[in-house]
Amino acid sequence: MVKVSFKLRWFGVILALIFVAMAVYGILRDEVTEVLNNARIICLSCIGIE
Amino acid sequence: MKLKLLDWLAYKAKRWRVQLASTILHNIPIYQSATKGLIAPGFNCYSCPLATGACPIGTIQHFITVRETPLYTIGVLGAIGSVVGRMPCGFICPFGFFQDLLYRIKTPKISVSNKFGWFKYVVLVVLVLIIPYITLEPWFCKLCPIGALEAGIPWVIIDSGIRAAVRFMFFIKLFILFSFIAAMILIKRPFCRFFCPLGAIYSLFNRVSLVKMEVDDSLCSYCDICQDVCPMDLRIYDDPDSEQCIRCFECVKACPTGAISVKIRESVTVPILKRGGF
Repeated sequence: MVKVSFKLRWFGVILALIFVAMAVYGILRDEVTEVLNNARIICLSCIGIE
Repeated sequence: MKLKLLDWLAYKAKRWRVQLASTILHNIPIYQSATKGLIAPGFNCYSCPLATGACPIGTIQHFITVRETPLYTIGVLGAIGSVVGRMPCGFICPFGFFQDLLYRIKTPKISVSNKFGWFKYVVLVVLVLIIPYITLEPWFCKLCPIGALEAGIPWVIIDSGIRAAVRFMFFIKLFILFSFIAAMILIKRPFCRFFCPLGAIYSLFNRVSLVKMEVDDSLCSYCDICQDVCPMDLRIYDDPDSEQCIRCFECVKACPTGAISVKIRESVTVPILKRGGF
């Protein structure tokens, strides 16, 4: 076995763009409404009564 | 490559002021019917009466219990992590700020090795992903000390209906919270280092994120001042890309020889194994 390596230029930027695209796709699927509806109601598990 | 904002954060900014501003921004109860659609970059319970945004870990669990993939939440956390790694833990997270404040209380301190840092991935996989998937219940939220502090205690004080509904589980949460508070006074950031699932997600990006730490071995005197000032009890020269590093830049400010710096990562080296030589 021989170890070789290669360099990926600006990998962080590419990765960030992929995740931004993922977030945008989630927004287009109307996930923001789901997040909002979930966050607006009081979570009884968070309070500790469920 | 250098950025002015990074230089300001690394050399000039008073970190507690940024943390205080972030804690206030995480808790502005104005127009919550819209702002709670935003994912909070730090750990802040969305059931807190003051919460501005949605808790990322609570949101991930909710999507798992309704059998959906939280693309929006993962996208936001991944984009932040890809650019700055675990930096939100050092500058933005309100609970991280809470731990930093508690550790300032003058008592004898206990040093705990970072070798148990893997446990936060167990918490992420088991309590945030697997158990909610099987039971359809947000089990991390049920045990979360942040929920007890920011939602449980305030709601029990201000709402008589909730006060009447308090059961055994509430007291378990209080016990967990006060155990952590005791630990936070004695140990540097115990929740972040060993239990935080949000920190676990951000830490996955530390080796590839655009912002990176760098130590010049020729300048380093191995005096360990970096470990003394580090909120995560790290020796940065051991591994500048450590998954435990929260990029708070305290070591950059404190280093007497100027060996530690913050840089922009222009490339990532990917190792591959090949059979035979060439």
